Amino acid sequence: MTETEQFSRRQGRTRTNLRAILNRNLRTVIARSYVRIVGANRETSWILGETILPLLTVSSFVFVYKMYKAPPEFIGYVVLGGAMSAYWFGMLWSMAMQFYWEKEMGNLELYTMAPMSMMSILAGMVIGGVVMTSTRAIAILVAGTFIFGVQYDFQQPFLAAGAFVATLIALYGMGLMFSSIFFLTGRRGWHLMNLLQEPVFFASGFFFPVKALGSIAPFITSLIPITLGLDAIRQLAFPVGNNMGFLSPKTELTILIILAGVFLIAASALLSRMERSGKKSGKLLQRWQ
Amino acid sequence: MRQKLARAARQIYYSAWVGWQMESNWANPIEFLTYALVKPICHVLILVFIYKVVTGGESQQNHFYGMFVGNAFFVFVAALMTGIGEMIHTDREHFRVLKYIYCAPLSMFTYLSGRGATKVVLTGISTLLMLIFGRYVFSVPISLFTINYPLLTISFALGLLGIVSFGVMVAGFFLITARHGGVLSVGIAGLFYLASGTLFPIADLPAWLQPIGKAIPITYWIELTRRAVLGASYFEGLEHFSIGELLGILAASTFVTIIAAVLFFRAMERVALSREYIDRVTHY
Repeated sequence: MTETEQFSRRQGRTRTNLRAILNRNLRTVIARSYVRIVGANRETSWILGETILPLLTVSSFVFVYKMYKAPPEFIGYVVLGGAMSAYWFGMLWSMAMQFYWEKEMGNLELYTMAPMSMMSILAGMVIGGVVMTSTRAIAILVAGTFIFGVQYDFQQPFLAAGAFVATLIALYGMGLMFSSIFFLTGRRGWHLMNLLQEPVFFASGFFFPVKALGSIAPFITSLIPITLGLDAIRQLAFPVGNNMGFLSPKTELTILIILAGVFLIAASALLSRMERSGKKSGKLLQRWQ
Repeated sequence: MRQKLARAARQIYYSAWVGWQMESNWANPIEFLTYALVKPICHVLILVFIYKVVTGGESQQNHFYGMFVGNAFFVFVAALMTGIGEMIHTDREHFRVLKYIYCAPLSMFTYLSGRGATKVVLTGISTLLMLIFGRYVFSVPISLFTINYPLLTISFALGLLGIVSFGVMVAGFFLITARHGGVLSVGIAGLFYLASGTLFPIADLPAWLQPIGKAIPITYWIELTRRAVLGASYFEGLEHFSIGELLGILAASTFVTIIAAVLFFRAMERVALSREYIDRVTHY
């Protein structure tokens, strides 16, 4: 066999390997998301927990605004905040803490042994998670809008859609990053996740305009993607939104895109680092700590 | 009888001890106190900012005080309902000990009550810190010398029984459901948050929700704790009831809740046992 023929065979094998790897990882993504979407939808109690009940907490804040006779836009702010809170919950419990649960259940060791990238597992979790969470968010949004008669006036729908998508990418990038950190933790991580609910609802202005926090605090809390995403969507959804907005929607969208890139790169780097560290220290298999 | 009581007390004590270890030994005391304070304070801060954004902080000050104290005590409802309920999921799916608990000569009610007792202590720390925070940061008129301690003690004891009973109901429901990451129990607590007049008078609720608010003991408990701590409710709707009447309604509704909780839990338990859900694991 000539050198040229040997080279061609090597190239062909590499291409086949690459295709096989891509194929395997794609199947991993589909398989992991399938478990979430189909598995969770088999549970009727999940529908109650994910769609009707979250609306009640949102309603509490709506009634507070109504009691204070606030302008109707504020009720829309709460409904949008409630819908976005579904994504925050989803990111925390279905992404960031998921590897912790997988570790406790014994799945993580199978994932690390299996011949596919951990990022594919995470991607599957993201896709499944977004589908699951979107059901909840849409339920809150639709029910909240109809029950409380919220009227939206989207002047720039594409910008709003862009802000929403960029928020989700940045948010789930953050979730991927957290998941790589938290899969080495025990109950401390679980409690930290618990701690990231109300404080983030407050810091990101889920139920009031984030501008109310002052001129400096929102810059710090903008590290949480929902802060800027929600502010941008509110500004674009209500005519008076601009007066209550923190930065212009275009600036917020730009920052969100940067955040998304940073979080995704950091997540990938952290994941391989934590996996190595977990294997060395043996923490990857530690349970019930 | 005495032997039975001693045995129940022992079961509650050891369940509480297990609960205490699980809830607190992951952190050092400073970290733990921060954890106990930050979450409820941030929740109150959300309300403070809503109030500030809408009113500019210049009106309805008394209403704010009532809302603050109501929220400080509502933490018990959220913590106990979610806490007792989630014990079923964590014991079943995380620690996988629920099946052993069912095999042991132990009543689930004493076990859940013991675990709930830990939550009461931990939530008590949060509530106390919140009241101190409210007193010094938001000038909520709370004074150690004006608190009606007998009323607070009686209403608190009755209220806790009612809340724990609701927690037992949630636990019963969780015996037949999959793990949901706490969303379900948070949602159920959200119903009480909405209906109990913690944030706004129940008269401001839609007509169809008002009967729920008037039927649950939590509404009367919150009203009584406001009167005990602040000396007045500052919320309209229940002001025409005397303290004695409110205590009577609280006692009666708590009694009904306890009976309902026992019956509901037993029914759910039967379903879970017949469908072999006791050692179920849901890997979503």
